[in-house]
Amino acid sequence: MGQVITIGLNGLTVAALYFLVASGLTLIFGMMRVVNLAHGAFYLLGGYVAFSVMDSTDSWGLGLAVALLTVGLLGVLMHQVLLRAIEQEDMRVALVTIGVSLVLADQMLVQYGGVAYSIAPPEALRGGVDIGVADIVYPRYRIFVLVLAVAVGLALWLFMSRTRFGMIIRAGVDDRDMVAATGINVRAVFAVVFFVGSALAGLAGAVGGGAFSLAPGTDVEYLLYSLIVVIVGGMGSVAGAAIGALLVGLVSQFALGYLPAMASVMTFALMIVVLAVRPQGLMGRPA
Amino acid sequence: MTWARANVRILVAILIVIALVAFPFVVPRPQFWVVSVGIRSLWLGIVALSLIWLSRYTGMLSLGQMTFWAVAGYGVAIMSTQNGVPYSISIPVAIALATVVGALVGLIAVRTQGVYFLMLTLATSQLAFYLVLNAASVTRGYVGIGNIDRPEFLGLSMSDRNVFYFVALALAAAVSALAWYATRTPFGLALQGIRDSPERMRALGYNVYLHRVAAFTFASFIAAVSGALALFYHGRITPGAIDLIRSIDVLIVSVLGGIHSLAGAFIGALGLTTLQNFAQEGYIQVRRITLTGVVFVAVLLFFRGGIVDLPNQLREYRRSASRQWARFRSRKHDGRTDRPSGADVSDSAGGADGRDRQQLPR
Repeated sequence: MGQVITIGLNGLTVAALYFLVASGLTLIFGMMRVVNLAHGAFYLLGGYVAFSVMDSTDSWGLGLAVALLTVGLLGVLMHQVLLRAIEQEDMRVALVTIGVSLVLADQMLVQYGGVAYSIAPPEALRGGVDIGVADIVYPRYRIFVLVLAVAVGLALWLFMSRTRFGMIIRAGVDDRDMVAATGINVRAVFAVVFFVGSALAGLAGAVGGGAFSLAPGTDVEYLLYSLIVVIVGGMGSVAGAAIGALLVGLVSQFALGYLPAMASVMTFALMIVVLAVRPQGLMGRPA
Repeated sequence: MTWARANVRILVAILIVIALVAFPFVVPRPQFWVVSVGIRSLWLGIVALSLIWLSRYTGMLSLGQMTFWAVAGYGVAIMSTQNGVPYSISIPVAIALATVVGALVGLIAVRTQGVYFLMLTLATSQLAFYLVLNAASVTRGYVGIGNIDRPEFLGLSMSDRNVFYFVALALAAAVSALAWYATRTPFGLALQGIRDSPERMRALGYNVYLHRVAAFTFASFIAAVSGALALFYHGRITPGAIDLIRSIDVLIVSVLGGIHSLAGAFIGALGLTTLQNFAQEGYIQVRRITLTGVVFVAVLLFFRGGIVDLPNQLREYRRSASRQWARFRSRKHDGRTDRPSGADVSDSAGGADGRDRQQLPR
């Protein structure tokens, strides 16, 4: 019983991280039809930046903020410089982001080397919490990650459903040209969405670096899992990303606990089942 | 085509064949030029050929071709080193197995289109990577399977680099001819119809889904041939040979060479291999992967048709540059700020045409 709960909590933690990464990916895709395949590299960069800032200033919060801003601005820069001229061609855009991720990953390897880093959480988030069931003591930091993901998810939902800006984004997802025709500056909206989406990857990296290690290859791992999450959940839907992240997180952790050799196959099987039933993903709309 | 032009074409083809055959005997430093550049370009070109063929004739851009490459490579390695199966059986069986895996992946993958297909095939290749890493009891995990003996036939050994080169060259030629022939068959023509208008082909009674699955299977067969060849090239196979970077390498080769031309596969492979070897040996002072990434982005943004289309592209750039120059001069002479509208119209039409011609599959 205790083991099942622990694995379940692990699954939720991982799901929380996957959601943070994948929500950025799906937000950008929903608005601009841009598949940012550099998203995994953005995650790793966020982690590294947070690590460096914390290392030199000893401030955890500052590290988080700087990581969020840096990666967000990098995303905007990439979009404005490289992608704007070709944004009508979704395939070419996706390929250009692959090139960006190659260069980013290689340069991060130069800067940080092949060793694994991990970010020390602040004093208040260290240690364990007795969750009161079956004598399980669970790391406080992982519970924080879980709470943060829920908070970000709620904030995103409120932002999308209750604000004027969110309304514009939702309208843009439905019909971009019509929104532009009503006099809204779609360019500015695009830049903001790209900032928020990329910043989410940076935040996820900074937070994830406290629970798991940061090393070359982490970028690919998170890119892969966020792709699976959005394929399962449906591209462009933030709610889909939440459901997809939950499914992928739980399936991968339970498979890791009980069928370790089959863990990656189980995740793949989940994706196949969903695609076989709904090619557009659980919450996606037909293409 | 006039007779003169046809003759020029035949002459060029003969010259290329002579150059390819003479290549190992005339180059200096054969270990570098024949092995590191020549043979590597050939097997890399065959994988890229499978990607380009699929993209060119069905409109599906796949990042998963290394999956089938790996199944064939690991298949031969496992059967021959761990179970003592002779190559005459293990090679065809492994290639057949990889083709079957291709068909199974195809059954799922072709249900999606465009960037969804790209993401799904990318996920497939990465899961293959994690799978061979985790199934250590068969694949020996990180270490991989080494000590692969090169096959011998007709008294020739593929350990000889010239023999290996000509085997690779013959395979590349055979596979290219097969890929080209497939596009001329009724099946290939139906595929192109489906690429251009799936609804119309469906209305005509074609089974669009099965045609796509068959095309995907055929492409995975080509990639599998390369996998078996590359296993003997390296003498070993490790999960590192199919990580994300390698899958992306195949894509870069295709885009660099020209994703709209089957010949682009081998030209791109030669280009990338040469580039990476020079960077590795320090002739170019940039890290290998960074350089690859920068070149890739530059080709995507500015040289849409790759190396194959380079003459056309340059001509187009020259034309638009001289147009800009003429406009600049006329503006100076007239002292007017507004541009003549006629030039504008023809200009934008030309630009749109150029873009349409070089569209990636959607």
